[in-house]
Amino acid sequence: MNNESSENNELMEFFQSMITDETEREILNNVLVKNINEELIDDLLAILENNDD
Amino acid sequence: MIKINYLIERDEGDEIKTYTPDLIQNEIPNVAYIQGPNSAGKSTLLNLIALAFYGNKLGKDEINQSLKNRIENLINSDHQKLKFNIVVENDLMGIKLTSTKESLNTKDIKVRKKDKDENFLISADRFQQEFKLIYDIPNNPLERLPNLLIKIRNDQRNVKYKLSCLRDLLREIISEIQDAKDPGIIKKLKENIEEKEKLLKMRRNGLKNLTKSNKLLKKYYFSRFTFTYKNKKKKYQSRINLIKKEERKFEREQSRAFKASRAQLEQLETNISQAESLFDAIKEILPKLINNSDKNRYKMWADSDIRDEIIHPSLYDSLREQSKYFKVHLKEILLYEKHSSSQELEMKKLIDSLIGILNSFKSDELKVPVVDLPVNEFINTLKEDLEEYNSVTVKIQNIGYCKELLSKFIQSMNDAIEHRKTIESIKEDMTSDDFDKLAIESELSELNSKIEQTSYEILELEKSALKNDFEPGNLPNLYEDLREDPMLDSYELYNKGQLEELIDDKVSKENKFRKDCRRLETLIKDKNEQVKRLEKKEPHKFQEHFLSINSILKHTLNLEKMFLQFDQFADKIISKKLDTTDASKEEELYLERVGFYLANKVDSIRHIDSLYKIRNIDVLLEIIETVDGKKIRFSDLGTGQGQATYLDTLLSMSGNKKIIALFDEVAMMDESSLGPIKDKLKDLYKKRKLLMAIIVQKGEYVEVESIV
Repeated sequence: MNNESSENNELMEFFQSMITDETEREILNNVLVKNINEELIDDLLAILENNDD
Repeated sequence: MIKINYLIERDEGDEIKTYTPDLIQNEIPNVAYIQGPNSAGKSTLLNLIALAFYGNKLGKDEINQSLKNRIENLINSDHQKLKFNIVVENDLMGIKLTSTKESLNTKDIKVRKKDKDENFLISADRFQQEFKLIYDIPNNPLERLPNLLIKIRNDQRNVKYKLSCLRDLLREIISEIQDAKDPGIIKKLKENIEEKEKLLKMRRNGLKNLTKSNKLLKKYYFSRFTFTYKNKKKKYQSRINLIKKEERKFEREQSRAFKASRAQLEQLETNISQAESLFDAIKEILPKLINNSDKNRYKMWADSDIRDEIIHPSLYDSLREQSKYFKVHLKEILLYEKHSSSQELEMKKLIDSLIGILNSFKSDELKVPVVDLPVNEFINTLKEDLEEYNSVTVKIQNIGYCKELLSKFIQSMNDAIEHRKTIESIKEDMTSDDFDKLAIESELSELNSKIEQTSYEILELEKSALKNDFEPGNLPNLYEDLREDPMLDSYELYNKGQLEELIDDKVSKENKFRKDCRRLETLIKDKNEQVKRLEKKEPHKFQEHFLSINSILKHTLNLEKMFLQFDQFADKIISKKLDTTDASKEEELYLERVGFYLANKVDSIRHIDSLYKIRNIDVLLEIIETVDGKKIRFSDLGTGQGQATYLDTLLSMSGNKKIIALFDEVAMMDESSLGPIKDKLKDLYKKRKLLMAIIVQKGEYVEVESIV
């Protein structure tokens, strides 16, 4: 599990280093580690609302 | 521990030979370094393990084609058959993989996985999701370094796929929200219905008023012209009666000259008739155009007798002289009207132009700014305003028309007088009675023709009046009252044609209003049904977040676009088609990040006799940059060191999957370059990322060494 998350972190760092928009980075973070379903949409909405604040 | 049992039956032409584990024992450690001479079975061992764990199912990006051919030859050749049982057991991971091909004659390979309590068959797809089979001969290793990007590209594609799933889900939610019960949409619809109902009410009122005023206008039209024509007919009839009395005086034989002059006199009568028609037409308009001070002059002119002036032009000249006077007078009135109504005329021109422009944007939805009315409604308002200026236009038109009639009338009188003079000589050969009788006959004929024409006009008017639900018999009697009606007195200026045109316009406007009412009624009905349908639905879970969902979709589409670009950049780097001198900023950034990513993965490199920590790997320029700023070109690395760097990177790029590593022909690597690979394998094994690994190397004797 540790290996998996470290691997994901490396990938995320790689991809995120090329993305400038903070919201898009966070969306990508979530897409990388979560399943695509309505729960993810809830999480993404929370991100969007936080960023709006 | 790896346990290998196999039987290969090979047709070697002169004999069928069988091969089983021989020089290399059938139990080897999980991470093994095997040395041995040619034909010891080292490559066969690796090919078998690769086949046992779906190596033949790897894509062209994942395995060297010659190795894939070797694996496929094992199972697909006509000259050999095999069966095997291979068990890989890793105690650290708690995993046991068993691959079995039970029969020489079938191609079925069964792979089972056992961990903790489960023991199940594992398909190729599932296997590849969990395990990474690396089977490689590290020849030309540094040239193949860009191929390591395949892993990155595949990861990118996975992310892009997940983003596309997210995009589809978001679109589905948006569509569901749009179709669900949305109080906002319902409110908007209701507001729209209210607006349309107001419009409909306005249209209905407009239609009611228009229908009423059109009915009144038609009544005025029919009464005025049946009155006019019936009066004319009466006048013609009185004249006929008068003439017929005089005719009786001339009941004598006709002279020769009488016969000869009949044709000439008939022509003269035509001239007179034309002058009379023009005289009548002028009398219809002129009194409404002149000033009060000229009323007596007009009366004198209107009471003059055309025939008297034609027969005795030197005695009577009132018609011609007064006509000239009125013509000059009308010219002055025309100038005055044009000047005094210039503002109205300009306004009419402006409204006409506005209607012309707005006609291209006809709509109930589109509103005209400032006045905040739908375009259609605004056009109708403008048309109503335009009607106010119609009487000015008609008056100016009629002044011009009347002036023209006066000119024609003067000309017609002069022609008749001239014609009369030409037949004076004939008169000298005739008796006075002859001449008078001829004149009477011609006039009678002309009057009869006029009565016929007038009767026809009356009949047509009465038929049309009936069609419009008016009782024709009573219509002429209504005219005197109607002409005094303030709503109608302005129409006194209109002639018959102008009134008919006006009525046609008003009727078509009435029809348009009726059509508009029907269209609005249907629209309101549809929208009400839409409201009912929406009210029956349940609100969507994400209803309140509609805008945010759209915003997430926008960001997701941006990300998808970016990952599509990354895919293209990776392709360019892999195929070495990226020209660094002509690269875009985005491509440069991508290449730089890939370099850092690979450096992070490889971590360090042994060069000559030192170990260097890597900062960046430029796969295009083939330069390794160390953290100390040292730049090592790929070409400067020994083959063995290159192989070591390549294998190290290959092992680092397996993501989260458990590795099965098989490395053949590492002959160019010495202990100093092979050492770091062994260390890497040891490290991966301890970190439970490596299920098993075998490195084979040419050696004088068979020797199997455990790396861990």
